[in-house]
Amino acid sequence: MYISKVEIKNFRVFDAIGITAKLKKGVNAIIGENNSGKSAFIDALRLAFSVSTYKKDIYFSLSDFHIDKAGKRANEAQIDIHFDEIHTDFFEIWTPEDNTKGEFHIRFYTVPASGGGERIKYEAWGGSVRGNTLSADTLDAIQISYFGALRDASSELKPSRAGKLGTLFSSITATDAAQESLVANLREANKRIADDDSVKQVGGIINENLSRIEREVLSQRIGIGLIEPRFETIAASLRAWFKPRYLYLEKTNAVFREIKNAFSTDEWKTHTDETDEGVYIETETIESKVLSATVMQAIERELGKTFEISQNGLGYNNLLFMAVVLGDIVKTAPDTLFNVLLVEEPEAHLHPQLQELAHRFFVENSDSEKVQAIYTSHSPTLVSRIGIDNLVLLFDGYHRVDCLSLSENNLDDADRSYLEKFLDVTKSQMLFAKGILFVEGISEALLLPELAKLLGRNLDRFAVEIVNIDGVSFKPFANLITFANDAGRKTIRAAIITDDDRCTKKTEVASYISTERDYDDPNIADVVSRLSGGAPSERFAGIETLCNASHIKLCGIAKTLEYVLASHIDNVPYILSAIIDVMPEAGKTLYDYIFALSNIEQKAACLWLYISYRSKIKASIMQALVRRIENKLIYEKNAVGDYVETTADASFETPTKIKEAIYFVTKEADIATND
Amino acid sequence: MQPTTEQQAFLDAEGKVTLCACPGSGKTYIVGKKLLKYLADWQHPHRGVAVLSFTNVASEEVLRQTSEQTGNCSVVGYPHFIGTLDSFIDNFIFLRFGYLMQSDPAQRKRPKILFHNTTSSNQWQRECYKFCAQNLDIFHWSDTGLLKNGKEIDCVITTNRPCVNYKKAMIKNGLVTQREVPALSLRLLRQYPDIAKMVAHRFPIIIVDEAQDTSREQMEILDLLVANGLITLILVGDPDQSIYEWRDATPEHFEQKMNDTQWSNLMLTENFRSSQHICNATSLFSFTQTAKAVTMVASGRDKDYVRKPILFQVKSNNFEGAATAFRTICEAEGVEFSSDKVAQLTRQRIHDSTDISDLWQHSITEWFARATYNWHCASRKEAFALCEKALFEMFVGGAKEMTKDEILAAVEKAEDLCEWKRRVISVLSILPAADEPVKKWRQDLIARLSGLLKEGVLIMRNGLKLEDIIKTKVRMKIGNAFSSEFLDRPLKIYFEKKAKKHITVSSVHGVKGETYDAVLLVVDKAKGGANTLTASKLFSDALNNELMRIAYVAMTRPRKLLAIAVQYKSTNDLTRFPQNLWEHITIQ
Repeated sequence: MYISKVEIKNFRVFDAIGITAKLKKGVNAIIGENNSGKSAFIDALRLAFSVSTYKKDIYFSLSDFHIDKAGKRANEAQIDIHFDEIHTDFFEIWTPEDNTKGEFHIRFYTVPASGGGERIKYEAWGGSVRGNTLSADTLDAIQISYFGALRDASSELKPSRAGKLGTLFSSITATDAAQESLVANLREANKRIADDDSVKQVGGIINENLSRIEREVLSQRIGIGLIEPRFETIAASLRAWFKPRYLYLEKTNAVFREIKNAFSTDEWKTHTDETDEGVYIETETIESKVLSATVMQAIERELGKTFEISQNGLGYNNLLFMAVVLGDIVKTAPDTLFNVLLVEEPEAHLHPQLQELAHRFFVENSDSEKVQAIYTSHSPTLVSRIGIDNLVLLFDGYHRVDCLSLSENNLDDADRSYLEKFLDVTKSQMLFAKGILFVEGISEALLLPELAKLLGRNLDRFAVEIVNIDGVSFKPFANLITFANDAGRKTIRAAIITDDDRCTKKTEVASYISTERDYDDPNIADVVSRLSGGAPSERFAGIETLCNASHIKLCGIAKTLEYVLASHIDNVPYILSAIIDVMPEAGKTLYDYIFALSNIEQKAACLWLYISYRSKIKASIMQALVRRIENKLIYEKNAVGDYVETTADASFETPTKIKEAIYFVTKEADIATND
Repeated sequence: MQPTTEQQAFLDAEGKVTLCACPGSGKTYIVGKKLLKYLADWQHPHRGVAVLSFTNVASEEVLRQTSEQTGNCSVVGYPHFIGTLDSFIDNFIFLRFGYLMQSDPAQRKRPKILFHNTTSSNQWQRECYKFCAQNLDIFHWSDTGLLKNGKEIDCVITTNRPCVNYKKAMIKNGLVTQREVPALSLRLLRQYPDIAKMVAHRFPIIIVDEAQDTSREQMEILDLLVANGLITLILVGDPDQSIYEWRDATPEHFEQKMNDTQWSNLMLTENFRSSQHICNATSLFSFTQTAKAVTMVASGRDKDYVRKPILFQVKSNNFEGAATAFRTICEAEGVEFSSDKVAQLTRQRIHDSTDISDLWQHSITEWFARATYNWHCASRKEAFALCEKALFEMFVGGAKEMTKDEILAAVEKAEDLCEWKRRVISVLSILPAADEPVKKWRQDLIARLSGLLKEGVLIMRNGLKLEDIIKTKVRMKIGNAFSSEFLDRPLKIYFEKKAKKHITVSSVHGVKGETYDAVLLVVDKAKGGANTLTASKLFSDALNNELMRIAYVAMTRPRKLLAIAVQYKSTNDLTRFPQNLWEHITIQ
């Protein structure tokens, strides 16, 4: 059984249209930029599942109703939960329309309160029609475990009756006999302690003072012991700590010899680290050995010097906390039929490697009919691990929060297997962005942030991510963020910047430009004419069709990025200077050669031929170009023939198509002031 | 108390089981015990045992028995269900899944059961010259089609009948009457076997008490549950005590199962209530015992009580004399003459001629009248619900087709519910006494309500006048003359089915399942229609008809003393009252 669909309306950031999220069996992640409603999503689930049970830890308040753009607060909110592969014991949730499914619904609404103002009430129903009862008993069969974002693992793990450790312990020690035997142990320990002379002495002093104060009025006496010998107090005082992995013994320690003798030579080698003064022995190994009582006591003494929870790092405490809570889930009462694990940012305080371990831990523990895990995450590491179908993306879709379940997107099988391979940690970043620029290669990736700055569109500020496809496989990425049933529906703002690859097809004799041609081609006019007459490639036409049918903007660049950059007269000195930075001698030759050309078309064609012929140094040229644009510095040849650095008169000019792309993913340009 | 051999056999039985339980055989006790046996090691936290009776009173009795046996009154909650068969079908089948019968998926809603005949509804056309749709109590769906008075509609219109359209519109709008719920549920289960599977999974064990009162449709629903995985179905009843034919109950469906060899058929023949004399005398009136040639064995405290049952033959209609003689005998026998110990029973209602059609001329009047009776004489909770409905009708309107929850939801939109409850209570507290004659009750009620209106405690929507909504019939035709005598009678007699005076005076229906030390059954009608019990019917009618079963139920109530008073006639055939079993006394 698992939650297959969640619909939320008029709750916090979710508006009256609301969102529909599809979930999968096992582990699911709710991802998205900050303030996109991830926590609201988790809280909606918590509210839905705790609505008619007694153990509420979350309440719906007036401020949970959505407030629309006009500032008007909604007065009803609804949360719908749908299940698949429903457990047959859920009579009240089951739907006869499809006997494998089930659903329940909760509507919160306001009513007038007696002293004026408003009160919140709710109505819950099971199955598809309103009014069908949903009893507390049914919801009690679904256990919700919640790890908040600001969880304080160390205080949750501190001894207390309602603490996680105590709860787990109580559910395991459920029989009277088991509890009684524990209490008997404690009683025995209490007795021994009470019999100790020093304790008796303390008791004597207190009692004497008491009787002086009370003057026999109350004649109360006190006893002294560890803790009250009751099961609840034992459960409430349990604590957990990490045992040290190694036990350090000095060689002068009396028990050193006996311990060493208990090990074979091989074992000693593998399980210890010896130094001149002492030895580190693996705790686990030493605990498996049969040793004399004296030695055991000595070891216990050493191990007693262990860490309190508060002395562990945040990350380890988080792991420990999750382990304890999951233990409770696995051991839940038989009347629990289904567990939902809600975790906000499991990556909190964990470095990427531990994140992976934590994720695997969730996967393994959700791999049953009874457990489903849903977490929110900002972690590209987790996202790249979890599988595309198990991701739910929340995004600000043009001033309203919307939702795309990635199982519902436009990917075909080929796209999917491609992305499973290539949606790595770096590319997963895009799912947390407000805007995405898909580009072909390193040149664009290096240059675009700088061009955006020139346009007053700092990409970092607009939370735009540049995704370097390193090739032309745009289709899987485009489909990833596109609804299968409605490709035009907006998700994250995205644009594809790609070359139109004209003049590359050998069979089109009239426009083909051979890759053998270099900048000093004697017939540069021929190159220019071919470039202007060439038609975009079939590959480009394919992407064009894809984008036309979807919300993604396509920015086709005539031939290549270098060519369009060089096509503006103000840009030529910048590019030439960047080439000089990388190839000081050849660059200067090129400078003169270009200078001599009569028109901008020829200069652009020539620069393009130069760079594409030397593609190995393309990235270096682009890096240099970025610096030059940033500092507005170019080389100029002075009267005596020296190349001197000087501030350029004109700024670098961003090509129109690229401008369009940047405006599209950030904010549309004000037509009056731009172009 | 150790179970008897018969009881033990029942406790051990599983699968398809019938238990024919004679009167006084401790049926409710053993049903409670069976239930507790299941509960002792019940393994399913979300599946349960359903114990279904015919009336709420009987369900409460099962609950009382189980909590008495365990000393724990909260033992039978979720996942189990104790209630009436009707409420089981309503809650777990029809109300929950009936929306599937509504054609437009976008408009589907939980159906509503109308408990009042909604003749005033003007939501749909009722252009039927035969007024079929006027009385929904007798115009209802069966599992195959529409029935009026139990028969298919006989109408000259053959296509697009207005009455049929009306009923279809009701279904579409989710409105049904309780009477047709079993039939519609049956259709639903036939169409969606998955629902039957789910219900059988939810309640793998179902015990039906008073199974002799199960209608054909209810029995077919149970059969469908068995076919879809029900593990154990136990039908407990006594065909001889089936007295609810007017509610579609006939014992033949239970008898059919009792005679089906696929079922385990058990009997409880030990009677822990009555004396052996009563057992012997009443056996002649039991169809089952006569057919199976068994007689109940008295096993209770009073089994050896020596006085035989008495047949009073009354001359010159002196039934008062019979009652006096009965009292004298009771006192001589040491039976305390009190309402707990002694009952005087009749076949018909205890107040004669209280069936006056359209006595209450407006539904608000009827709700207030019922509320008055309930507030002073019966259930205050019921009184509250009725009063709330009446106030809502005065305040907003449309209360007839609304459930209590819907009324509250509508109120809540306008004001705080505490405020509303205060209003209802203010009205309840000014309701005139139930002993007042109807005429005076009406005048008082109007005066007091108008007082509340002036104070602002009560609100009434525009256009309503108290005189129009608190209104009774003013006269009725008796023979050729008009009479308004009925307005001079106390309001409560129109509702009272059972009165506790010095002794209990009740119809037989009112004391079903109960026990008294002494019972006098009065059969004072000399002649009458099919529904009237007369002496001659008692003497010679076939045993398997309802009037005889009513007499049998009455006769099996007493522990010690049974008496029957009939008209004396020289032609009385006393074969069923032989002198060796009965004491004959003639009242002059």
